[in-house]
Amino acid sequence: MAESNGNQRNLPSQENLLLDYIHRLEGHKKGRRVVHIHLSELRPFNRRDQHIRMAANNFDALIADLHGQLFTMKNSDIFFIFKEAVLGDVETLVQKVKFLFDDDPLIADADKHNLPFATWYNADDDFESILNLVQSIAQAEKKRQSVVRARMDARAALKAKQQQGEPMTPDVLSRLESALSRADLSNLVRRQFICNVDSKMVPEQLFSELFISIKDLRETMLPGVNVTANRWLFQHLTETLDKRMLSMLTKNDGVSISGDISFNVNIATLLSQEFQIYDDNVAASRRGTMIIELQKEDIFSNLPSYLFAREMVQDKGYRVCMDGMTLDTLAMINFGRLGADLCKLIWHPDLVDGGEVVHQMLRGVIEKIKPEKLILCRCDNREAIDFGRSLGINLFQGRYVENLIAEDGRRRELLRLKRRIERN
Amino acid sequence: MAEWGTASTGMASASSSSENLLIGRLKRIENNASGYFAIHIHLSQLRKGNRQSHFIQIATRTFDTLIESHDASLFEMTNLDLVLVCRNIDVDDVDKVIDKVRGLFSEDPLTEIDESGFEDNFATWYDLSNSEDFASFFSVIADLSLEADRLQAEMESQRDREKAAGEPLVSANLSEINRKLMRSRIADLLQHQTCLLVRSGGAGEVVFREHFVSMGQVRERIAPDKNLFASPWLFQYLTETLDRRILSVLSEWEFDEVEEPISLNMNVSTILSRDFQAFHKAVGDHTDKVVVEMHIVDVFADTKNYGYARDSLQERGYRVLVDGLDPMSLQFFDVSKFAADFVKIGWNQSLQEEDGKGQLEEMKEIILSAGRESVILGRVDTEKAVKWGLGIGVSRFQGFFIDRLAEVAGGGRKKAL
Repeated sequence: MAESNGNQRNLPSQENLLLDYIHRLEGHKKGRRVVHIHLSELRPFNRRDQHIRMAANNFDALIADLHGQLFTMKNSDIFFIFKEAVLGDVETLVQKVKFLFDDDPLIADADKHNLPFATWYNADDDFESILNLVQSIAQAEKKRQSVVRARMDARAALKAKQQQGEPMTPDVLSRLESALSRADLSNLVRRQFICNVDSKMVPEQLFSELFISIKDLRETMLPGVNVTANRWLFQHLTETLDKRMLSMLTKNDGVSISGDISFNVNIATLLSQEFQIYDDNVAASRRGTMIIELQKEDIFSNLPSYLFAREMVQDKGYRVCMDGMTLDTLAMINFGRLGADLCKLIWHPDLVDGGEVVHQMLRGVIEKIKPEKLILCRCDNREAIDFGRSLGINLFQGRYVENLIAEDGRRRELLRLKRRIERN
Repeated sequence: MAEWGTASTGMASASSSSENLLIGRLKRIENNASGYFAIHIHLSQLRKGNRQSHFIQIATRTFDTLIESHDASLFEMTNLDLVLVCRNIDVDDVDKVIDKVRGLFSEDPLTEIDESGFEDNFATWYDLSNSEDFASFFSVIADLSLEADRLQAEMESQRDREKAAGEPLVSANLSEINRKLMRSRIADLLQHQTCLLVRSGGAGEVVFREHFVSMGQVRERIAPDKNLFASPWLFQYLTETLDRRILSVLSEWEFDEVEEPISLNMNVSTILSRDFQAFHKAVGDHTDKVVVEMHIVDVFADTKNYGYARDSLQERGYRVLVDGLDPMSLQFFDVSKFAADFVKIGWNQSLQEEDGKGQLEEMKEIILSAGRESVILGRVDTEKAVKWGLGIGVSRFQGFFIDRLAEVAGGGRKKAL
């Protein structure tokens, strides 16, 4: 395939980037030094991500002035390659990093073992040994990755089973579907708000998503079964859930639908009788307050149906939101051409941890989609919102947003009380 | 008030067909046609994928409000065309509704209006108070009426065929069918189709031979009375089982002796499973002889897992192919981002009909950005399809026509294209 794809593969590891850098260094190794800081020898509680980040941050000024380049390995070791001219500065910085961990046995008990905190190299004299070292590190990382992948099958299946129960089978699906047609699901309907969150972490509610809680559904109807274990069986189940949701929304029995709302449906459902009945019962003026969420696999399994259905519901006044997107998926698609009004990107800590390459990719996606159309969803902690805002995302959904709303409610209540007391 | 055609009941006799009702109506107004006009909407000319019955039904319902509030009737022709007959209605009001219907099919070339703004292939207007217009409209409808009987018969046999396709697969019978699929013999159902590198003026060279088991044949064997294609998701579930069966057959092969590369269709979940590891052992050092095809639905269902599967395959020397694309879908995503070795695009008849310069240019550009060497045109069943492909820069082909070509080439008589 075209060479331009090299950078589209899974992101290159720091190990590979370092190897690449050392190869390129060969031509101008004169006057260059390398320091290898053995943070991997620290006790596990001393080498959490924030510790390593703190250690690496010390070198920011030198990097910004183009005096050196830093690489952080998967095992937490740091490599810094720099110009001889700043050797003094680097020695001071390494000393500073060492102080950060001075209670760790690696440093505190340095006289009892032979482990160095840092190893220093002269690129010109020691080039061969540096290259060998870095090659073996890159090789080990590659091997580790393939072991991780090979383990995904048995290990991941076992872990999923322990956490989420036995995987769903066709038999169980069939029983569940017939039970669902009779059960009252209104007590399983949950609501989560999509909010504009400002710099003071004050949420402004834009609309709320109504959904049937799969977790609660499982606990009520199928304890011990993992309903999401097989993607295809789960997707089929959602078609049944769609129809129950539509009928609840139509009858409005037990489900309050105040304000702007969104809900998930399959495209097959949009083209079915059930949706027509629902639509006939919705006041024309209400359609503008409703957002229809469509899953990505559903969209791409049948593009002509998506395009038709999207046009149909948008023409009636509904808005359309693409749900379940990841950064990889967003980078692949032409969002403008697909013509949806909104798009939900699933938050994942990898978005932060992936470093500058991922941030750059995300910035590109945000620019393409426009911040007013992009919602960062499943935000479970403050990091998600801080990070999103730092890249220009304003719209958020998730457990942490629900906390912010509750907090905001309490604050308003207090303010009201205060004003009332002041008046009296 | 509303007056509805009856073609939708399906069993209409010739005299009460929608076409004949419309002709009856025209005869009644012939002498006093002032204020009457008609619009013929050519839904029968849509691409096949857009002529689905639920699309047409939704399009038809778009006229409901107009018909309820004005003097207008809609006639549904047997060939799926719609005819709206109106009296004394503001043209703009009608236009609004026609545009809504046009919007539903906005991705279909039929709804494009050419630059002069004159030709409209989607809808034709007739002023029935003008005797010339009346006559030409009448003749169009008369032709449709003559054609209706033949179409009716065709549709009935289609319905019979659909009935023969069996009861839809539902979750209640999925488990039994899945068990049967796990037990029954499938080695003898393994077929292959050749992907050929064609250079204009030269003979073909085999890129790989796709080995597959057709679900149609599996159905004959394990569930002749069920329609396995009724739910896309349950079908996809069955393919996971089929994957494992095919892998167990191929794990018996001696890959030393395999001469030409083969390709296989696999779910992403299968590639990350133990069954594939066992197959990988059988392949040994010959991973360059195996191309693994993954479907676009699977790619989008979990992009991350797709990335894992692709990288782990490519690192071990396999080649990766993304299947299930059509020329239209290429405009909606960037295939180069799949970072696959090949992408397979299905050819269909309507491509040839769209020889609009702009579209061809756009295709050429997409092929170029995807990498010409990586694009395969599939479902090629005529020589015309190959010519069309070569014209936009594709040189790898697969399909019935290519199989015939490969046979000929294999027989030593190399045929020039």
